[in-house]
Amino acid sequence: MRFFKVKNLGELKKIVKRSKEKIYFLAGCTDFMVYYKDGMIEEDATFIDISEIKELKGIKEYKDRIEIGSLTTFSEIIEDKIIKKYAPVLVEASKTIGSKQIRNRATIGGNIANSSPAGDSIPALYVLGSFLKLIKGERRRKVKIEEFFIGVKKNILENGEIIERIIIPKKKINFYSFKKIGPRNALSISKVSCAISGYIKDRVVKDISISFGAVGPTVIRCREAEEFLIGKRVSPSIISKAKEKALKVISPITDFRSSGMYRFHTAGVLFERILKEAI
Amino acid sequence: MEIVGSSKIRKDAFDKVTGKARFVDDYKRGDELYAVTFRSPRPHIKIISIDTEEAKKIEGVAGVFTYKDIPGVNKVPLVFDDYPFLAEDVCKFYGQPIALVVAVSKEIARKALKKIKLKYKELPAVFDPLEAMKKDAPKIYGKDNVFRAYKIRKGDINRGFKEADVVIERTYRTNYQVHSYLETQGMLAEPSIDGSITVYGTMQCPFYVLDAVSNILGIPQSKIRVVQTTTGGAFGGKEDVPSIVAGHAALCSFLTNRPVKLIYTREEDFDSMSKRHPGWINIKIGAKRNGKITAIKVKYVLDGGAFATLSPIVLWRGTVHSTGPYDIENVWVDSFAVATNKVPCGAFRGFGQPQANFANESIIDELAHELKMNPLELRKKNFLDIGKKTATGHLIKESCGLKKVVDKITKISNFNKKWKDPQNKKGRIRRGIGIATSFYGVGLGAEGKFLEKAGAHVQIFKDGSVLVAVGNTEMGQGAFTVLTQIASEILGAPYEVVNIIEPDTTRIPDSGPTVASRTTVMSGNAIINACKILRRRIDGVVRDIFNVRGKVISKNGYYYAGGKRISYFDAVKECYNRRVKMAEQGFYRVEGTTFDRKTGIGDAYFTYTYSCMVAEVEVDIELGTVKILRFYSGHDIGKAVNPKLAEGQIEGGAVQGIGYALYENLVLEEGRIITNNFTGYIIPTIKDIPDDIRVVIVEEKYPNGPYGAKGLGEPPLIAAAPAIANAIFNATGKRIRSLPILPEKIVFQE
Amino acid sequence: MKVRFKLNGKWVDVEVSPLKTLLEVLRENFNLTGTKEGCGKGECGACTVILDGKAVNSCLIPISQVDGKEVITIEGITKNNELHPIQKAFIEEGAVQCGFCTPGFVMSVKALLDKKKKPSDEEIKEAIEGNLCRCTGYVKILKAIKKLIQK
Repeated sequence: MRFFKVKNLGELKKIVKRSKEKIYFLAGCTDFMVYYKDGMIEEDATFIDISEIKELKGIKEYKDRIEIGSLTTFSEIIEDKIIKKYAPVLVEASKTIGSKQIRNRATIGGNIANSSPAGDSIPALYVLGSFLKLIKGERRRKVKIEEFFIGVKKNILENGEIIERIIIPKKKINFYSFKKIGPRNALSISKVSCAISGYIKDRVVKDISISFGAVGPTVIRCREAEEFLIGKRVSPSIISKAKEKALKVISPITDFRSSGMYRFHTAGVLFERILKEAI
Repeated sequence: MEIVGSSKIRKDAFDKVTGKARFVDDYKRGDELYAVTFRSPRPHIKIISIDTEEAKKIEGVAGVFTYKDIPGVNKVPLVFDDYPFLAEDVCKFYGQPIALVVAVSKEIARKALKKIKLKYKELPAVFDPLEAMKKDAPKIYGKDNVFRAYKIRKGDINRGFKEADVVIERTYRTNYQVHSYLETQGMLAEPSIDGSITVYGTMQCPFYVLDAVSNILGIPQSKIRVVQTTTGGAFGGKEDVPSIVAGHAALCSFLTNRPVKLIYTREEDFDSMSKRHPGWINIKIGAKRNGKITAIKVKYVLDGGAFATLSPIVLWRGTVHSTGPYDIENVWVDSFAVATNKVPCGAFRGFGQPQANFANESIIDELAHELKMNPLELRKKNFLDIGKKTATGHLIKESCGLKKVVDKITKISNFNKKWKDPQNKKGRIRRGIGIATSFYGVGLGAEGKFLEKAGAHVQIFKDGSVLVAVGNTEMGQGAFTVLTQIASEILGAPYEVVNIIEPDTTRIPDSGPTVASRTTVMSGNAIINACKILRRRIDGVVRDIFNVRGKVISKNGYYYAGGKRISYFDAVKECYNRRVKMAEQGFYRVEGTTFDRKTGIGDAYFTYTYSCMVAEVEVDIELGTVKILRFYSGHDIGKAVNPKLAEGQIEGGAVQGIGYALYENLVLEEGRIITNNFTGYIIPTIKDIPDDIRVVIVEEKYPNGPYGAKGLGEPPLIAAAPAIANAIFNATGKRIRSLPILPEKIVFQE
Repeated sequence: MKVRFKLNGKWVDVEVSPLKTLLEVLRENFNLTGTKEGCGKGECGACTVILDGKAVNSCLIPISQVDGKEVITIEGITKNNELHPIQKAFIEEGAVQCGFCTPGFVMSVKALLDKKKKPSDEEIKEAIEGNLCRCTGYVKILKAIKKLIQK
């Protein structure tokens, strides 16, 4: 085990460059330490504690977007005024994560990098149309959040690459909601979740984004349902047609947390409820 | 009475809020080694060979031990001797202990664990108890996989059903429940002088541990010291299985001649320690139009897991109580504890009753529905009372507060007003109310009679402080506080100066296990018997000092006689001056419980605790989620020695019962537990409890109990699940016949 | 790895493997055994301590991340043997049974009350939602906290 604690991106760059083997990054560690204790982490690797890299912290507002440093904790997100203003759905989702103790440590970058389809910040980031800025050594790249995930706990990060910041474009929205069904009301991992945000005027959908969590190998965005809804006047029959289109793209499985049938059914219920609340 | 009946502050509260209380993992010896357990990787295997050579070579490893290293007997002593400390040729469940690795650190021990090479052949396995009872099932125990069967035959079952206007038959199932005590299992064993050994650890029953350590080491019990450390919750989960952990730790310490610590991880604890048995219960019940139940027939099957452990007695308690707190003339019960290739099940708060009670109190509700009666009215027509008989024909002669408890609970919950036919309810969110009742035989009963005794040593020191030694233990339930109150009350000594010693088998009398809600009655009576003798001596001295006759009364730390008073402390001093014997022993034994295994008839227990629970729920019928709005729990416990502690037991039991009813779902695949930690196995958090839990205590004195007290520990959990299931039916018209009642079941049941 | 941090008011130094958890360091290196391990996976809260003013699960924190920070444990909240008001409230209301979860609860509540003197019911529940208790059913714990706030 080779262990490094770095204070800035410059130091990080050097160590990443030097390391030939597998690199593990330590941020909030609320997932990492669990994997480590479960023996799922290779011992013969480089471990880099990035928790104190200043450049990865903080929330900034720009003219057309906000940027969230990947080390921002969920407690910080919940309390932040900028996020509350431009990404309230992310605040709502963040509140449902883990417990107070977990939210005080867990980072948004970690939640994304862990890439669980049940990661609760992810459906919110989907509907916000987020981008991720990734960094490895000198190289930076920007990807759409949907392009980041490639499977259950799998993503496009290369060895040595980290998430630098999350970019959320400012959008005109007047309704949003994140709903989650878990096995209990705290410390709960989603069986199903649904995030929707958009702009509805006089019951007519001007803009809408829809996503589901925990009903497929990755979080799923429902483009077809979105396109169907835009320009339509929301009514019970429109909602039910949209629901059909939304559910077409999900593929929930049965595991110890719930059944595929229940997840499918519940995804539909959450979808309908959010839209009904919106009008 | 000034001390008994008052809510004294817990004896251990200060140490526990400050973090000073020492649990077993908090002990340090400086030179201790750490042990870890090598376990069966499959549910049923024949061991071909175990190669420990590679593991032994790792630096820092002090030893790797298998059954061959056991100097004594390789059997965990309990009801049957079928469970080996370490597997010899066969493993019958995933996680069964095979070998122990001892090293200078946990990390090294775990590393060495991976180097053990096990060669084995898979054997056919069976996971379902009903399958296991079939003729062609793989055999795990005896010829039929049945650890024990019981029956009850009372009256004429055929006549009973003929007399009925309505007969219904239903089948119910319950899943495992995991104790989820916050402190996992753990022991520290160390050699002491002259080849003897001391074992410290978290446990309910030091004398069970003593038996186990003596067995595995083959040394006399008098050479072993078992000390119970502060115990972080138990609920039955530390009744028998600590014997295994202690046996292992003691073996490692004995063979290395060093202190050895063996602390389980949460996952290991889930994988290998006892659980509440899954249950399968079929009931047929018949009643007259007016609601009088004429007959009940029950078939009750418990999934015992791979070894018998406590299954036979768990089954017995469940059997005796399987028809509920009702007076029914014609009863027929067949019950079976069955072996499967899964983790052995054992004791858990309620001990075989919650499974049966869920079935029984659900079918009563179903019967009421069939009869178009209010379920409370139906119950009232059939309740046990003084002059009525239980399923085993036990005539209730005294201390039956069932009707009082039910009346109080249904009054404060406004049950009759809130109970409405579910058919009339509409909308997405539906509210409902449900009721369930239970009775609970206090103590070990006729089948555990040979252990139904307790002793106490009481010593008053010159400065007036008092030490009480009892064989029962404190595990969070508050026993030591309650027992101190009893001693203090009788002696007339201030509560603050009376204390109970740390349970240590070399200093306390064997009082049977701390289970079956028996401690207040059993140890309480033993303490009373000792204290009464001491008090008589003190009273004699007081009368002599004042030169008066008649009764000596104690109050506020003084003794009063003939219009004069002397302080407790001065009286004790005077006793010492006069060389009065100030240490005494007390003993208490119960006689008279009976059970005929051929007929199932007998006076099964010495007394019963009676309970009633009401749940008010709100069900989201689209999502299947259940919110408990209010929960009411009432118990006739004879006497609340410490009302606040009694409330604490009742509230805690309610929430464990809510967990059992709605959340706690142990999932196994091929005999392996896949929800083996708190991430997967869901117990209630602060956000999952009702906003309002209301407690009712009724005190119908039990003449032989200390100040009239009966047992309380277990009843607060028992009737919770059926009360909730009945409330869900009342809200939605959906009858869920299996626990836990997950949203998935509510949504997809027609 | 050499780590220096403020522990219950005093700066301390320790040299251990960087992935050793704060919980292990507290218990093994400093004999502060009031902080308990209930699950080791951040699911029970028995190991809760206060790190730079925030309640955290010490079982999930590699010691490398504690360097330069301030840690308060259950042992650090009593002054001159005088119980902290939270501890008093827990005793008086009967919020303690087996006691294994108690230090963790006390620390979670302290982190809350240090920030806000009169939190709402919802905020109280949020503060202790990560602390499991299997004995009390939480009723008396909640009551103790509410009574304390009213004082």
